[in-house]
Amino acid sequence: MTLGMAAGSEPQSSPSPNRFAALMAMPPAERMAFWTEEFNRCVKCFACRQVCPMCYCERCIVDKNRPIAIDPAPSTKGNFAWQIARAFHLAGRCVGCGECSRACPAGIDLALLNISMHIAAQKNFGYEAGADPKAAPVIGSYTLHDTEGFIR
Amino acid sequence: MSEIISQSTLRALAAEWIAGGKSVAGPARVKPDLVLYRTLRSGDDLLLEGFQRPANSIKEFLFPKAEKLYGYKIRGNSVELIENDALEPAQVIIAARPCDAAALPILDHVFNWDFHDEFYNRRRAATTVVTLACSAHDENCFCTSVGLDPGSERGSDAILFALGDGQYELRCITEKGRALFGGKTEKSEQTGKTIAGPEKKFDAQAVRTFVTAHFEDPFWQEHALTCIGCGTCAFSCPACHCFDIVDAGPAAGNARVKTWDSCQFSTFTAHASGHNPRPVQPARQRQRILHKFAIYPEKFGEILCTGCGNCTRNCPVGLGVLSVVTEINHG
Repeated sequence: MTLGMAAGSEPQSSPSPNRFAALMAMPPAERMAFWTEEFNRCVKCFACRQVCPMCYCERCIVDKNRPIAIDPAPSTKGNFAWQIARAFHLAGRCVGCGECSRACPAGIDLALLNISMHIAAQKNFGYEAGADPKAAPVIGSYTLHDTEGFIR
Repeated sequence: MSEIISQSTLRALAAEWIAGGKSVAGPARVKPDLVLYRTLRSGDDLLLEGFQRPANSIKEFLFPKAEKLYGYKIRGNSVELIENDALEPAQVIIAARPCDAAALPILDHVFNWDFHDEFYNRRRAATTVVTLACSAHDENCFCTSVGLDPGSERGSDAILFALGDGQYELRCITEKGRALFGGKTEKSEQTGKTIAGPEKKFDAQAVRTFVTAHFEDPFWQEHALTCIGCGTCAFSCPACHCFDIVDAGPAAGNARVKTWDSCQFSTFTAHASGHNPRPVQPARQRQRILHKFAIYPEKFGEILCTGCGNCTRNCPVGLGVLSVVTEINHG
C-alpha cells in the first residue's frame, strides 16, 4: 500500500445526487429524527476529521479538555455537538470531496451537513470554497454589507 | 443425531424473546451497503445471509461505546455521588460471527484481571451468545492465522450451522444456550460442517518475535505513512478494549462516563505536562500490533485478535492488522 493508491472498495450504491434536496424536503421533525438515528451510530472514531483535507487544526476543539467544550462521550448529545461543531468549522472551507461520508464506518452521510453550509455561504455571501484563491475566507472576513438574515 | 431449527422458528423465537423483555441484538441491514449488529426491533430485522460480516462487532453490547458509571452533583463545597446500579435486562446476541464470540473470553481477562469491572461483568452475566458459523470468507478474513476457524465455538453459548433451505443445525454449548432453545428444535440426521477457512496468511509466533525484537525499526515508519490516526480499526475490532473515563454534561453535575478510546489517537498517551511518549503515528501503529501479538499474549497466553478483518474493511486508507503483520512475516 502506497500513498495515492485506491484503498477499500467502492461503495455498492452511489449516493443519490438529489440526496440533499430529499433531506431538505423532509419536515423539520422528520429531519431531526433522521439525524438522531444517524448520529446514534457515530462512535467518535474521528475518521471524518482525520480524512478531511480541510480539518487541519493543530488541536481540535473536541480534544480540548480544560475546560471540555464538547462532550467527549459518543452519546446522542455528544455526537450532535461534535458533528454540528465540525460542520460549522467547515463552513466556507469544505471543498466537497465527500471523504467524510466515504470514511465513516457507521455509514453516516456527513457530507450532507457540509452541503448545507456550502449553500448558506453561497446564498448569504456569494462565496464558493476553493473557487478563487484570492477570495477572503467567508468566516475569516467581514464587510459592512454582510447580512445577518441567516441568524435565526 | 442432531438438532435442527428453521429460519422462521429462529425469527419467531427472536420475536418471542423481545416480547418477553429481553434485549436481542443481531446483524441487520442499516443501509443498502451497510450491515451492523444492532438491537433488533423484530424477528424480521435479523439478517442471516448475503453478507460477509457486520462492519461493527458485538463488543458494544457488553462494553458500550459510552456507559454511565455514576452521576454526580456539586453543591457548594460538597459533591453528591449517585450510583448507577440499574440491572441490565437479559440479552441475547444472535447470529454473531465466531470471530466476534471468540473475542469475549479475551475481554473477560481484561475486565477481571487487576480490577473486576462490575459494569462489564453484569452485562456479560445477563448475555447469551448464539453464534452462526461462517459459510464464506473474504480476502480480509484470517481467523485461521490466529488459531480459530469458521466454526469456532469459543465464547459461544450455542452455535448454528447453515444446512441450506433455511435450516440450521443447532449445537448448544452451555446451559445458558440450552435454556434458550428448549423444545424448539427438531431431531435430524443432518449435521452442519465447518467450511474450509481462509488459507493461513502469517505465522503469529514469528510476528511476536519480530515485534518484540524490533521496537525501534524503520519498518514502523514505512507502515504508518498511510495511517491517518483515526480510531476506526480499534472501534470496529471485537477485541480492542481501551477506554477513557470522562465527564459528560455541565460542570455543576451530570455523569462520569466510560467511553471507547483508541491507541491511534494522538491524545491517547498525551500527558498533562505536554509530553507525549508516543509522539508520532508510527509509534502508535507499533503499539497496536505489539499489544495484539506480544503484550497481551505475554500476559494472558493468547492473541488479542480473532482475525475478523474488520480493521482492514473499515480503514479509510486500506491499512489493518492483516497487511501489517503479513508484511512483517514475508517482508
